[in-house]
Amino acid sequence: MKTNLKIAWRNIWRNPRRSWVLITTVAVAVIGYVGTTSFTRGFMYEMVNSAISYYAGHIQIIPKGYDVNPNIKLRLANPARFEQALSRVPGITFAPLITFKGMASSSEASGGVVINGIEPQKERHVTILSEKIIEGTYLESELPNAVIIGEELAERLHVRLGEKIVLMANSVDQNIASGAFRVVGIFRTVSTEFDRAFVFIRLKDAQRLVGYGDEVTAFSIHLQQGYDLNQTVHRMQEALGDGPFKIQTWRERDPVLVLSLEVYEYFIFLFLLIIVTAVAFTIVNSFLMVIYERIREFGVMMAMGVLPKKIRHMLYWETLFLTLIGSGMGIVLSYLIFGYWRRHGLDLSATSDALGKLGISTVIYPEILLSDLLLGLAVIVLLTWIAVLYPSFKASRFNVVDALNFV
Amino acid sequence: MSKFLKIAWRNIWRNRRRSLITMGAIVFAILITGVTRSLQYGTYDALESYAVRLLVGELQLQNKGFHEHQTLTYSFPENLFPWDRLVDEYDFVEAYAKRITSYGLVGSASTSAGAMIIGIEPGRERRVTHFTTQLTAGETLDDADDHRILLGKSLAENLNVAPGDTVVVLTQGYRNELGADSYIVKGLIRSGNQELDRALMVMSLRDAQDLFSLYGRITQVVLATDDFRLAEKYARRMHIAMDGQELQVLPWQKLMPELLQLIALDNISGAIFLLFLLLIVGFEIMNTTLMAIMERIKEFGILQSLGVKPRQVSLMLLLETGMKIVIAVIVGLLLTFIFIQLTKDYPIPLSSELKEAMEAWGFFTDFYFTDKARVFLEPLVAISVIAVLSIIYPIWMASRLRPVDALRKGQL
Repeated sequence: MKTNLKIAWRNIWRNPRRSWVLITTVAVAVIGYVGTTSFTRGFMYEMVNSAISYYAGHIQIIPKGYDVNPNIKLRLANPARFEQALSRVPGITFAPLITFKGMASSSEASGGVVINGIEPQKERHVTILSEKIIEGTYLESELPNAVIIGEELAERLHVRLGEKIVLMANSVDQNIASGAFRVVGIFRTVSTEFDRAFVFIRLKDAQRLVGYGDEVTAFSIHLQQGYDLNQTVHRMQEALGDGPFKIQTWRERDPVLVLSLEVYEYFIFLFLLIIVTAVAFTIVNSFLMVIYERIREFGVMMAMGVLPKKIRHMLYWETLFLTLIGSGMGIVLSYLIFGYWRRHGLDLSATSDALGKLGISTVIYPEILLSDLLLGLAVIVLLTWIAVLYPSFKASRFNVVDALNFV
Repeated sequence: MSKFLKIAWRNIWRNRRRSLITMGAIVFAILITGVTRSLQYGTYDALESYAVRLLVGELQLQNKGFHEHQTLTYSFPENLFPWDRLVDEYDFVEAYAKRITSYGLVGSASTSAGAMIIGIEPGRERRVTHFTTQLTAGETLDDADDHRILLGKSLAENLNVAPGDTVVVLTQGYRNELGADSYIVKGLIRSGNQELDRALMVMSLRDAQDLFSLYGRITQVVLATDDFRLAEKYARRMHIAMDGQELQVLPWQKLMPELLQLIALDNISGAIFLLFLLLIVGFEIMNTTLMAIMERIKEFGILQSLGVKPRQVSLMLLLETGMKIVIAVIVGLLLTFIFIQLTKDYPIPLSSELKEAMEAWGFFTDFYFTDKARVFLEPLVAISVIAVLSIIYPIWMASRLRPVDALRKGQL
């Protein structure tokens, strides 16, 4: 056993050129695999992240029935009670939200919008909207009836900073309520759809517009990194007890996002299948070539009385060593190459408008997951083993004379 | 020369196993990149034509300024041009439909919401787009319908209405008149596009003209052509003018730049993926070629001791590897072609859960392998370049051999 290992190890370095060819084949296969999976992870992470970082966070508390029928009459009474209970849950930040559909009009044009009432200071800790103001300010000034709108909507309505727009919506008592709001800030997010459809006013103004007291529509909750989504939902449930409300996560709120992630994942799976096929073929091909090159050597060994079984085992060990060295090299190189982009991001801004439409940020950070890596390594080790199975079996079955005469 | 050709040819088949392995690497590389490209382009085709023909259509005739401002100020007389003549005059135009697009507030007994209101000629519209036929409930509009509308599915849910219910619509008209009327919901649209399903309200052109006080005027004419990819070219060939008023011809590429960029994004992620694939298969080609030549160092030493000049050894190797590349490329292309011909008529199988989920959101499309010329051309160029590059180094090395070393060590 020990001799076998030793012989195998020496064989590798007896003909370094040949071994390096095999090692680099494995290393390149690892790099290709890690590159594909890490970029895919990066894309998918950005899709989720963009979808929740601008609006409403990872988890929402909504009135019972609101997810089926988002009616202005449905609201959370006594928000102070919720705030008290939520502050006891670790790993979250939260902010109240009032949201309803309505129409925004200027003197020139009008369009359907989603009007949101927020508390600017608390909202900062839940969404990154405050960082996306490109003109004017966030909703900080104490001026009544201030509104911030997206760049896309501003263009559509032909309004500039400081001008007024009229927001119109149904109030709780079924009347059409409207009010003039001054545009104090214009934001630009990565999503042009968001920039066209969402406007933000102060919570108090929203409550007055639709005829609420101190009630709100929902609480948006941001989950800090490292806290588990389902576990936090469970903790919130315990802290809040029972009541006419529902806790929902982004997965329930945005089934289309979940669906598009699934479709995307499916095609990635197809592509990974192609990559794995390519890896398999290259490895089988290279090892096949190398082993046939050495048939004469095996003949000599057999002539000296080495059992075919021993030759097979020697080849398995050699292959394992080569694969491990190659994989190690591939992993180190992958971390060097993709690790750079993982820290600094790969900027795809040439197509930023398109990414915005998808709700994806323009900078992709490839993400190397340990589970992807282990799966890939397992597949590659298995493939190389299968690759030597046939030729080593063949090699050990040669009769000595044929093997010695093999060209 | 012909002697060298003969030797090279014989060399290839003298060690059949070695030649097959090196050629196999190239054949496989072409096949797998070809299949990948076919899958990628096929997917883009399905998504694009679906998206173009959903609502926007391939070409639109509009007044200058309407696309930017989307207001009724930029409407034009509906009989500005004898539209039937379009189909006769331009052989690529297959159908047309007049349309009004504007915005308003739609309300039910319980609530109200903003809506994008589209006035259409139902029969004609079905020949240029397909959003009016993707219904989840009720029926689509007929040309004879009066004060009947289709609503986006999510909009109807938000308003809490079903087919048969009445909704009230409030708008700002052509000259800022207030427009208000009530309509009966006839069907619900599930377009697959969330934004549309939340906003869409469709009525007959006549009803829309009444609602917006837009008598005898429209905002767009939508055209269907024989090939949606040529829309930009077709747009340049059309010139629609009458009575000193000229209409803009806008292809979908201008109307939906996001889609064009979405395609660009797909291409980028596709290209990133292709890059990794080429890295793997390209490396394999280089490795096997290198090995196949290095294995034969002793043979070259013998040749040189017999008086064959280094230049002649190189020439022989060049001919030999060149022939192998040509054979492998041809076989690879042939296999790719056969694979695509066999599969292109069958949709790419999706898991049944995924298919159900997609249909539940109104996304009815299948993905196919495509047999466009690019699918064969791109692998042909990429792999040939890699293969040719991979033979330069070993041939150069072989030409610099000292016969003594080659004979003794059998390696460099």
